[in-house]
Amino acid sequence: MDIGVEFTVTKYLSKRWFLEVLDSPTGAVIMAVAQPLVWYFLFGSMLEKITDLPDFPTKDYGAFILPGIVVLISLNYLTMGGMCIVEDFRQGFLQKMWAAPISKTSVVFGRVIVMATLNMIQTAFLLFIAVMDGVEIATGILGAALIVLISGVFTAAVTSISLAIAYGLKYEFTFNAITSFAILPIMFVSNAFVPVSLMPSWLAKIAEKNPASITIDGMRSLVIDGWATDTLMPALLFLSSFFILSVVLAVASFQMKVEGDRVSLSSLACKLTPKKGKPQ
Amino acid sequence: MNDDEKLDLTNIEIRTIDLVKDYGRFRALDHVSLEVRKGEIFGLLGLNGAGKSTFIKILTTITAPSSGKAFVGGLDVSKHSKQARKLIGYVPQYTSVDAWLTGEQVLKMLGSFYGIPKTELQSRIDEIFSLIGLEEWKDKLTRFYSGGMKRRLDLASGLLHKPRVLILDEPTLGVDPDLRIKLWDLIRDIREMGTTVLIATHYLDEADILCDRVGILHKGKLIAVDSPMKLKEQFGDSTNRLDIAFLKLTQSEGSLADMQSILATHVGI
Repeated sequence: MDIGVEFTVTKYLSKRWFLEVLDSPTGAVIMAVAQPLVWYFLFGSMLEKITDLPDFPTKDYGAFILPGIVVLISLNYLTMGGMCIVEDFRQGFLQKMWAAPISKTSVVFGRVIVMATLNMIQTAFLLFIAVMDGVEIATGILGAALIVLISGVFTAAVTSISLAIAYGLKYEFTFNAITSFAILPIMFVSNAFVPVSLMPSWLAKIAEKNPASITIDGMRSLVIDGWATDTLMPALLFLSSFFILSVVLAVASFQMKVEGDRVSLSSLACKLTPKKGKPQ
Repeated sequence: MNDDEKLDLTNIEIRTIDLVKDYGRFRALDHVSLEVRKGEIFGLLGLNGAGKSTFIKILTTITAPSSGKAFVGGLDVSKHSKQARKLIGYVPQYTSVDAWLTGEQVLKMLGSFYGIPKTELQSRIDEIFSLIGLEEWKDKLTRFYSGGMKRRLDLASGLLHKPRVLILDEPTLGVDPDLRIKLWDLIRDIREMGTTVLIATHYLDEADILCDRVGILHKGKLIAVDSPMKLKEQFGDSTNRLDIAFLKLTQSEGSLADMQSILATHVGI
């Protein structure tokens, strides 16, 4: 693999998808500015009295919900991340990329970088608004920068999963139906709006295992507790593994999409196992 | 001794040997052995589901054969897929240019896929725009191109890295008669540049006019390979049309009569 060529490919593909976003300035502004603002103030105002409950970890609901809103914004990339793929396949662009001497991983990264960058802009803007609103980030500017980075990596993982789903499907409608349906259950069965300790025990067990909850825990410790490595490190380790696994799934699903194989768990498993004589 | 027997084997650009591709229980390609000569325009004909797209997917390394071998420019495409891809220009069935990019940006992006150095890329892009007669349009967004201009850009973009073999999947699907003739001229120009061209097409008149030789795939099997003229002589009738030869090769006797009747009614044969 020629790293220089792959880097250039990723750069050009990222540019392609950035230009696509900028081609619709209204959509870009709504996504980057309006959406974080509305969610932060809407959910913040709606649930702020919840801090009166006994054992609630903080009296500042803005600080509590901030990481939840950051992750909710990231989860939207479950739909946005793979939205372009069905059209790209229909138009033959994916096949054209696959017939070129480039790595599938570069193609996946091209999309992931764009989505993660957009998300980091959104997150930075949201943190700025929250600080203006009176939220104090316990770890200061460095912690805020780490929150932006964590959000970017989580979005990269979510985008990869979105790509894996999109490559596995034939119709855009099905893709939109599946991904938009999935976002709310993932969000509400997490610690985004209420602590897990306030949930019924069966729901709390699911919520604790939710990748969104683990990511929120890491960010929340940066906002409320300071540099609490016992919470932060497991979250960072989990996030790294989650990201790698998601990219591997996206690449395997991409290969099957172009080859025309039906996506199933067994075929995914086959793709993840290297074979002799297969195209590189 | 026929032409094939006289053929110098070093003049073969594409060769498949006993190529088989199975999708589950469905056999899409059934022991297909074919040779395409250097510098010829070769047409791949067949009904829907005949195996044309699968054949192209294997040559372009998009999918691997279940068994058998495929060579492009002497390279086994399964074993040396990355090197083989550099020898191949591939233009899929549909127009794949982005509305939000200029023509030049489209080609720069595609050029990056083949690792063309920046210093060479610009001159090649200029050559391509000159070839397709769109020099004045290269800085304009492709959304302002007509359908024909997009198709020309798409077709020529397969040449950016100077491939030895250009593979075109239905290059004139859905285009008007005027543009079809222009695209045929462009394909002939490409051949004159020394590129071997493989075209999958449904249009038998296109194959007849444009191709030096054609291969007919039917239900995954290669049932005939020859020049359009020889196929017409051997399988056609007094109308001297390739579609009659094609139908005779791919339809049963009963359905052939039906198809001839339909052609007589609607096409005036």
